[in-house]
Amino acid sequence: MRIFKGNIYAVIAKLIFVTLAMSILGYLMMSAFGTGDTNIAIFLAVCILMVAFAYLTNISIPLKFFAPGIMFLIAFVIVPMVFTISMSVFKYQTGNMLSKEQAISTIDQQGVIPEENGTAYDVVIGYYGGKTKDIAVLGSEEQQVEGAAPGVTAKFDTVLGYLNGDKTSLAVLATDTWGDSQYAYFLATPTTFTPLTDADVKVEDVNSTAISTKDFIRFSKAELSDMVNTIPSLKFKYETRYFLKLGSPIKGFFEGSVNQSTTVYKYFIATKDKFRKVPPADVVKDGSGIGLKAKNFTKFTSSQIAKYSEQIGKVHLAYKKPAPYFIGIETLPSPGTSFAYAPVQIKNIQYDKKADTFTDVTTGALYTDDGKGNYRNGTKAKDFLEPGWRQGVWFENFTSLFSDPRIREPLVKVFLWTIAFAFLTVITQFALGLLVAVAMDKKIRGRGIYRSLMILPYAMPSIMSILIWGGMLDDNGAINSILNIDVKWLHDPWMAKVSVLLVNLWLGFPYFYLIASGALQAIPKELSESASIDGANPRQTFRLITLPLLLRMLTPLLVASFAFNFNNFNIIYLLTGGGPSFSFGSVAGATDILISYTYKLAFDTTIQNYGLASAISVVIFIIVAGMSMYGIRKSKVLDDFA
Amino acid sequence: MIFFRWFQQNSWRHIVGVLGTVFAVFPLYLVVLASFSSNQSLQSTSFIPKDFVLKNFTMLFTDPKVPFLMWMKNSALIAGSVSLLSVFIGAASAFAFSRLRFKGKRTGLQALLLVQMFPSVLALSAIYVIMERVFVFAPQWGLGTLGGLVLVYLGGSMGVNIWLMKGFVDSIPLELDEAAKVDGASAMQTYWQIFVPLAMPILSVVTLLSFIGLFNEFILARMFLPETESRTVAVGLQGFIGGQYTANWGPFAAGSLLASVPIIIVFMTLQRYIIGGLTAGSVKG
Repeated sequence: MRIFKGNIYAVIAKLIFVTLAMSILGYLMMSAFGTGDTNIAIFLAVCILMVAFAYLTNISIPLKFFAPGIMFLIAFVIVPMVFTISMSVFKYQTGNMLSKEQAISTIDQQGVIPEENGTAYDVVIGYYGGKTKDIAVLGSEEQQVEGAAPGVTAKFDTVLGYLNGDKTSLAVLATDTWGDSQYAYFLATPTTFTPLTDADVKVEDVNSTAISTKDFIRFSKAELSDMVNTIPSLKFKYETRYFLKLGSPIKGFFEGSVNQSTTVYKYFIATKDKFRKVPPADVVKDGSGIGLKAKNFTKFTSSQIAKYSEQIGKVHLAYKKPAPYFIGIETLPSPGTSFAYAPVQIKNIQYDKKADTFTDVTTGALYTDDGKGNYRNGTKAKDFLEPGWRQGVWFENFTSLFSDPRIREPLVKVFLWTIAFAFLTVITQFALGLLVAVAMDKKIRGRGIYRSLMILPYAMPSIMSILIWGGMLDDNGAINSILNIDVKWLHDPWMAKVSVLLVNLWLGFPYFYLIASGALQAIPKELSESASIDGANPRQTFRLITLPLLLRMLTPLLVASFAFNFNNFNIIYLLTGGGPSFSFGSVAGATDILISYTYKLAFDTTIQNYGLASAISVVIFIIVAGMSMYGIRKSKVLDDFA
Repeated sequence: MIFFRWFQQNSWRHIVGVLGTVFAVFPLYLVVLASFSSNQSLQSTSFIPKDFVLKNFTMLFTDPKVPFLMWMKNSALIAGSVSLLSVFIGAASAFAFSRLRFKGKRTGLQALLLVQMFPSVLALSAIYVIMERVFVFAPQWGLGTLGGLVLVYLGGSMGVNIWLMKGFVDSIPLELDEAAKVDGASAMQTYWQIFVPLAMPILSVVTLLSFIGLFNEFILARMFLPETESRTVAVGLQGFIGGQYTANWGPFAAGSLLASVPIIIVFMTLQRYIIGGLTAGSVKG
């Protein structure tokens, strides 16, 4: 067997082409393999083998002609088609888009709630010990310590009472008996501080201590004795950072002393398995006392944080309370700062791999695989975990087309309109095209001009024409304003149908005009001549001779046109978008045909139901294929290989 | 009486011609009107132009937010390369289906026909996923690139073109390639030296039809090329009027006019050949 034959230039050209094709494919295959796209890599490998087999051997001549076409057809037509068909037996919709493994890991990730107290820390992210994979955080736990304010010597004589007759709104009226502070008198509640002057207060004669002021009522002795246990814990506002505490009563007066609340920090390093307290001596702190560095702890650089951001986002670090409590890192440090926000959380959804169930730790609810793509608590309709996964449901999508009234009702309407739309389109286009063709079937003056102008709609790119028609038919569009009428061409269900047909007639009649005039010329003139000799008038000749012949010749094209319009996505989608909707929130609309409805169902709504859309696609396919096969049988295109 | 006969014979033809012409032309006339109007809507209240400005055209070429020339270039590049390549690839298959004898020819043709009938709208999502992956390992051929869209279109246009061209090839007399066979030519030699030169006019027409079809493609192009710079002209122009609240009909009309005129001219010039193609079973989209 000779591998190469033909002249030397052809062989060289072929070798260059084949080598080039194989090296491009080979390069792509290696890179696909490198990024883990094994399926694509295998496909490319098969392509390489096919190229080699087709062009370097002479085993299959036809393959030499088919090889490139087959590759493209498989990659971009067959594979997507098989994907669509296979998805029609899956529950595949918004909320059920992932594989089951992905869904489990997502549920597992998301199954957390914040700790009851909402504890959260500002932490530094880094690693513990020597390995960067041991992600750890250095946290600083804030604690308020109260004590006498250093340097503040003022003491006040105070009376305890309440404001505005409400015994729960506590207040103290304080007097600076010794003149140590800038305030002679003041009124303080736990949250407010109001300096007072002599004029505001009424004082007791003995040592000019204020005993009452506006709205303030002093507690009686009996009331005070009931409160004796709570008084030491009361705090009243003083200057910023300071507060007033009451000492033991002397003759109904309390000694009010100024206290200060100071923040101190305790430090910890949390890793995945351990929560370690760190003595303050081992920690380098910033100005306000928050830990920045610690022994055994290395801070990540910002590039390391970027590199490990995914792991950091997912890590569960030990907290002082045992699991299911943990520390999670919610936001990474913003540029220029060191601290990340790390709230304490509870892992309340636990996955049991063996039983394939999830348990809610807080409520105790058990979620099991419901066989329909979700983990569900028993059979409760609303109590299931998000997200679900693509679950094989056999023919449920197909049966729901018939059994579920919410799907069936719009679908039936859309289906009937699809048939009507395709049928009426073909009829109107053909009728007008034929009328024009018959009218132009004689050498009248100006025929060339008529012809050129009338095929303009067909020569113009249809996408532009459709959009322009959309603008003209708009409520404020040209048609309404020129004719000075107010017709809702696109927003009334029936008018929208008329508009779609009208625009499609405009787009399509020149096509039928062209082919009908071609066909008219192909009909032998002898037929009509002999008919008129036999006494038939022109109308009879047309009706009895020309039209039947014409119909016979053009039936395959009429069927093809019907099949094409059955799936004429552009005109519907670009002119009316399928609207107006049947009802508020309904996906389907008055002018939707199956294909536009399918598209909207799969891509254009908030709840995208890809599985159902695929099932409808398969149904459309069966219908269109059936029709076209019938048309082709009729036209005997397949005869030569039947 | 003479007038009546004349009417019966000719004048109704003129009436049909005039009405048909008005119906066919008036939307196009409005486009021309809108493209030269300063009004931003298609709301014109008369057929007589009120003003004549060029700002819609100048805007297309000067506004940096509207890379109209880029869009035209993208469309020309995509439609041009796909139509040429797909005819180059498809012609070989069409020749094989028409002239070679091999096992599975009938099945192959039928399968090709069936595949073509599958409503491809949903295939969008699978194509999206595939090309998203391709982008990862071959960024110049993946999602969002002109090259990627060319590949996808090539796949999609295969079926139609093969069927269309097979029809043409069948009409080329068999004697010629049989003579070549007698002279000892291989199938490849027959294809390149006999068939391709003979079929050149036909192949050009199919290329043109394919070009127009691709020019009209919208959904895939919109999904595939979201960047303003890389849009095709149809998707780019649709952006003027696709907004929910604003519709800039002026620039849209001007742009459609500029984009359509070359196609209309080519179509009109070659209409005799194209019509031959139409009857072979193509339906323009």
